[in-house]
Amino acid sequence: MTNMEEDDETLIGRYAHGDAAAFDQLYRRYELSVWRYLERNVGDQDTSDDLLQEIWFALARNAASLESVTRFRTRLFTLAHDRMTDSIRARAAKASPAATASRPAVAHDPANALPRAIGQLPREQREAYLLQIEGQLSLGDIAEITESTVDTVQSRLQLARLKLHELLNEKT
Amino acid sequence: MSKVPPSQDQLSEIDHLYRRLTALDPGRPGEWVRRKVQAYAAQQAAERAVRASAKAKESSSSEAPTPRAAEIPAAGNQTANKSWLLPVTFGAIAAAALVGFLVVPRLMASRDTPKAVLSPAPVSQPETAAPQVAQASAPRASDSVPPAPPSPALESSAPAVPTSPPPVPQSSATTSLARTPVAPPPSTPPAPASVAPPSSAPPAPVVASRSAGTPPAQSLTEARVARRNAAALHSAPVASTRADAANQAARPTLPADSAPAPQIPPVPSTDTQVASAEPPPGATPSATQPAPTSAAGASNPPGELWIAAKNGDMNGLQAALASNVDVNALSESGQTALILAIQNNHLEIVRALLAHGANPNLADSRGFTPIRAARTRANFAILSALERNGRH
Repeated sequence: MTNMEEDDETLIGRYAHGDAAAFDQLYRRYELSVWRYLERNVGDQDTSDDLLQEIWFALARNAASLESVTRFRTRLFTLAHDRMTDSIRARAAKASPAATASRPAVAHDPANALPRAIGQLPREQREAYLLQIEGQLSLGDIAEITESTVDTVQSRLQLARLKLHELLNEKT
Repeated sequence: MSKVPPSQDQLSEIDHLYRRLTALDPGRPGEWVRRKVQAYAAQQAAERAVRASAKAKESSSSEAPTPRAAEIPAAGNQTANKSWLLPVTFGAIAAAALVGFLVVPRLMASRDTPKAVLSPAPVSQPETAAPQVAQASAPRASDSVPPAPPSPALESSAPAVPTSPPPVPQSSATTSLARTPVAPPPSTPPAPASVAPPSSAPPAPVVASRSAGTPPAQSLTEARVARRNAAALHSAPVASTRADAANQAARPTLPADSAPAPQIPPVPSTDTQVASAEPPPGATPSATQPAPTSAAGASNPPGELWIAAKNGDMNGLQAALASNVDVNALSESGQTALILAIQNNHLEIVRALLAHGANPNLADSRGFTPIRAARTRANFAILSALERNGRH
């Protein structure tokens, strides 16, 4: 985060006092990373859109309670993780949440290779990796969000990178 | 095929590769999401501003709230204002029309058949002869519909009333007729308070889905909506929208979100006491609990505690806590009072429970912890309260 930008906590505090532009700024800051985290876990763009809307609606609704939050980013991805987990559980009866579900299978398309590889990771590894790469969260934060330990998160991240290395080297 | 495990550098290359490939990925959230989020955020900000100004007015004037001041929090936004005004306007118009319909035929009937009613009617007391009729028709109409302009029929018949009093035999009938239709207008003014409570309104419009949402979003995503509707025919025909379907489907995992409230019996069975004595594995009491109420000494059934926690009844909660109940007992639905309060977003109740030794790490019978309940509802004030009281 650059020094010129206001930090997240300041922005949410401004929004809690009625500055809608601050919320917009916050939304634009995290829109893509949160959406990618959702989309690559859920594997469906439309569901990710809906989840993204729910998450930001909830944040807007509870902005007053966010004023005392010191780590907005962690709270944001915590909320995203919880909503996404509920959504995945609700769809558990259906097929596995492969990340390629809504993507046309275009051979040799590098843009598709990554989501496909991410989709082949085990769920825990995928969540941990995306929380780190998209959310830029610390191991401790990821452990808190996924309700696991730091050692477990570290192990999952290592395994996820190994698997991705293998998959992406095969496909690219 | 033997594989050499990649080095740490190669693994860190994965992250660079991820970012490089992500830059090629054209996937983006829908533009409608941004629009809806912006609109909702602006609406919430406006509502907060209205609420804040109303609170400031109340605190500054510290007198009995005027009717206008009482309307402000209920008004909320423009939509709520419109919904408040419409019933009143239509109610007034309807009342005026009803009065017109009732009064005009009666007056015309009294003019047409005066001889038939002259004999039984006591003509000598025009003002007291038919008090019920007068009470039912004219004064009520004028009381209930003050702003409504009098109809031409009323104006023309007004001078005729003293000279030709209404026939008494018809008075009972007209009274009953007049009272029933005129009754609704008095009930319309209080309607706005119950019609538009946006300040405390739960998130009914919040998870408005794109397809069921506002028209602007629809115009932008017609193709997607059509595609989704087609898909919905195969996948989820009952759910109105995907978001709603997801929410409804997700609710079973979250006990408080489920539509039927958990049945909390007034008197718990002995099973709950046993369950309360055995906290779930991994749920250890916090060391930083300020004033722990000893569960061992608690003997009273905490049914009132659960009900008060669920309903946000602080007085009931204090009464229940004063009767030395087990604050961590599980209800028959398997939830603690703390979780019930969190599920219903009662921050003050949560604080009171924590102050009386409620365990912030004690999971319910499904394994959901208080922190999980608060996180799912994005209630960060409750989260902070739990953190301060040693949840881990």
